[in-house]
This record gives sequence, structure tokens and C-alpha cells, in this order.
Amino acid sequence: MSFFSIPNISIDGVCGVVPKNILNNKDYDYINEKERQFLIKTTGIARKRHVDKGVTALDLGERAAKELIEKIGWRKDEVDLLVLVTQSRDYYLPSSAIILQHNIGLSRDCMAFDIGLGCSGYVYGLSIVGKFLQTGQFKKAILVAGDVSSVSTNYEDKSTYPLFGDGVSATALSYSKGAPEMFFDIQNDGTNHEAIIIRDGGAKNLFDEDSTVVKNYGEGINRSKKDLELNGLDVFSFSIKEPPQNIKNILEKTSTPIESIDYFVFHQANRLIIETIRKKLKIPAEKVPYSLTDYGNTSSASIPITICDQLKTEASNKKMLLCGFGVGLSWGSCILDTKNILCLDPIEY
Amino acid sequence: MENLILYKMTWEEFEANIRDVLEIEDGVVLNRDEILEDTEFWSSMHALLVMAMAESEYNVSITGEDLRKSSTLGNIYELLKSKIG
Repeated sequence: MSFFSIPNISIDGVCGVVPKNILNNKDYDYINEKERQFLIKTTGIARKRHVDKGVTALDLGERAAKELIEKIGWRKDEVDLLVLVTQSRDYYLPSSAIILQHNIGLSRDCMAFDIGLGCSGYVYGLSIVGKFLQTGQFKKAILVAGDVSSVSTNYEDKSTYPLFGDGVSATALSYSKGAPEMFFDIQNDGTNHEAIIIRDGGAKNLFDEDSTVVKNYGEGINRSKKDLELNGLDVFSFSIKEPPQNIKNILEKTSTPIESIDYFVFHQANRLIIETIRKKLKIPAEKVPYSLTDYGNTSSASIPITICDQLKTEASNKKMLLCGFGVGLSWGSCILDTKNILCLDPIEY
Repeated sequence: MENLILYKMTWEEFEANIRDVLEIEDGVVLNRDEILEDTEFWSSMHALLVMAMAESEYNVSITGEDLRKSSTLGNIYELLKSKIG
């Protein structure tokens, strides 16, 4: 069953943290000027942020969660659940969420675990946290989502390096009896798991000497097996086909007229993908906010960063459709009615 | 654009669309049998633009495998025509 609803959830606040270091794609000198201009125009990604060496998703997530908890006025000891969606964990083990629980200063009674998802991860994360909260046994939860993708993109791979930026978000959710239902439609396709992959470093292919050897895989694409590999054609084909159908399905299953949605917040993969989806579904441009121009593809943080950076106070009292899609392959949509969401401006780390 | 109309798409219409989407200047001659990778105007990013055009303009899905098998504009034209049909 890919379609389900979750009642009694309030989204109380959203916050995004990005590194201070700005890398402009106009300065990406691995490709020539003509190609650079074409890349920026087509992807829409003018710049992105990278962490300093040693700074991780856990660090950005700690800052995001602490800021959010303080600004919405929660006590740390009343947070019952911490979920971290990331593919850039600090260690093979233990789970980064447990370290994060300690670093934020949450109670030992706060349940904490990681979810290893990327671009679809925010929608997944909302659904998982929502399920824990819906009965009221858990009252307050923090969902931290994002990645430090710069550690796994090779400068000499034009299919990944210019696209991905680092960023992590925090979202505060609470049990709120009688709150409007949130609706989800979530899907996966493991047959295409190699379309976006880091081949070495997991249990299947242990990290060894060969993992760091850089090889050529086509014009402008040099990488090692420890680097992120992205099959552009297959990922693009998937991205403009499956998410629009998923959106049509969830709108139909919930009898929601497409024009009743105030904002469609898409995972910020690249402008060409989002514009193709938008045109296919005949969504007015003003209902589709973008943050990728300044932050690039920030993985599971891209939807909340877009909400904070572009919608701000406009995010409150709206009907929104969120759609994430990517590595897995994995994709899903969520329809929700917001009340008063505190959206903090993106914070620099 | 309706599929019925596109079913009758001519090479000239296709060429005009391709020129528009890929921003190919009028002075550049498009040969339907020329190997795309040998041309000045083609790159992996242009392949994505063709996919996007097929999806948003013609409501036709072209897969990565479809495009990998298409080495010329003529191949893409025939592919598009067959999908529309």
C-alpha cells in the first residue's frame, strides 16, 4: 500500500542550515565557458554551499535542531522522537541520530534513529514521524533531514559536482488532536538502484585501495568508486515520468483539485526536471518555488530549505503538495494543510 | 499538442522543434544521418532537453536506453514518431 493518511499532526516549525562557503558555478573551471553557461541555464543552479573539511551533516543538523527548538519555545526534555534522514552519516556505526540526540541535549528517553534516504527522504521522514505522533503517545518530534554531498562528489565529474550543495534541515512536529489529515503516496523501484550510487564503502564492496582510483567514464566524467555516480539519462527519464504520475495519483485518491493546491514544493534536483513536471501538470509558475539557484540540490533538505528560503510566512495556512524523488530509486508526495509554521531564514554554519 | 497531430509530424516540424529546444542557430545545417556525438551542438545535457521536450510538449516518455540507442537526429525523429503512434 503506497497511499495512506495521517491525522492529528501539526508542523510547528522549519529551519535550514547551510555552510558559509559559496561556490559559484560560473567559476567551475573544469568545463569551458560555453558549457558552464549552458549548465547554469539548464539546471538553474548558479551556486551552492560546501562545508569545511570535517564538518558533517550531523553538525549542521545539530545547529538546525537547536535553533528551531529554541525559537519555537520547546523544552529539550519534551522531545519524544528524533529522526535523522541522511546518507552522509558520521560513521558506519553507530547511528548518527543517537550522537545527534546527545549533541542537541535531548533526553535519553527520546527515541532516535537514522533513515538512509536521499532526495525522497523528507516526504518519507514526515510520514514516519507522523505515524509515531498520530495517536498521541509521542507528543513532540524533530525531523532532521539533509546531506553533506560535497564529500562524495568529484570535482572532475561534471554530472554531479556542479549540482549538489550541502544543507540540513530541522522540522518540528507535534501531536495536535483534530488537525487535518496529511496524505501520502510513496513508491520505490529497486531495479534501478544503480542509477544513483556510491559503489564502495558499504558491506557489499568494502573500501580498499581500488576505491580511490579515479577512472574516466566519458567526456568530463572522472570519478572513483568512493564518489557519487549519477546516470543522468536514466535519472532524468525517471524524474520527469514517475513523480508527475505519483502527483496525479495522490490528487485523484484524495479528490483534491489541482488548482486548490497553493504551493507545489518539489525536491530541488534541477530546473529542467521541475519545469518539465510543472508544464506536464499545467501548474502555474508562481505556485512552484525554487531554492536551487542559490543552494543547488541539497538532497533531503531541499524541500524544507525551499519552504524557509522562498515561502517564509507564506507557508502558514496553506494547502501544499510536497514531492521528493531520487536515489533508490524512491519517490513520493504528501498533501498537507498548514497552520502556523515558524519558518526561520536559512542559517549559515 | 495533441497526439493525433503529432502522429503526422514531419521531419521539418521535428527539425524546427529541435532547433528551438537545443537553440541551434539557423546557419547550422542539420543532417538527419550525422552522428550526434560528432556535432558541435550535442552533449549529454542536450539529450536531457530532448527528453524534456518529448515529455512536456508531446506527452511521450523517452528512456535513457532509447536515447543511448539513438545516435543520429534521424533516429530520434523515428523514435518520437513511433512513440507518438
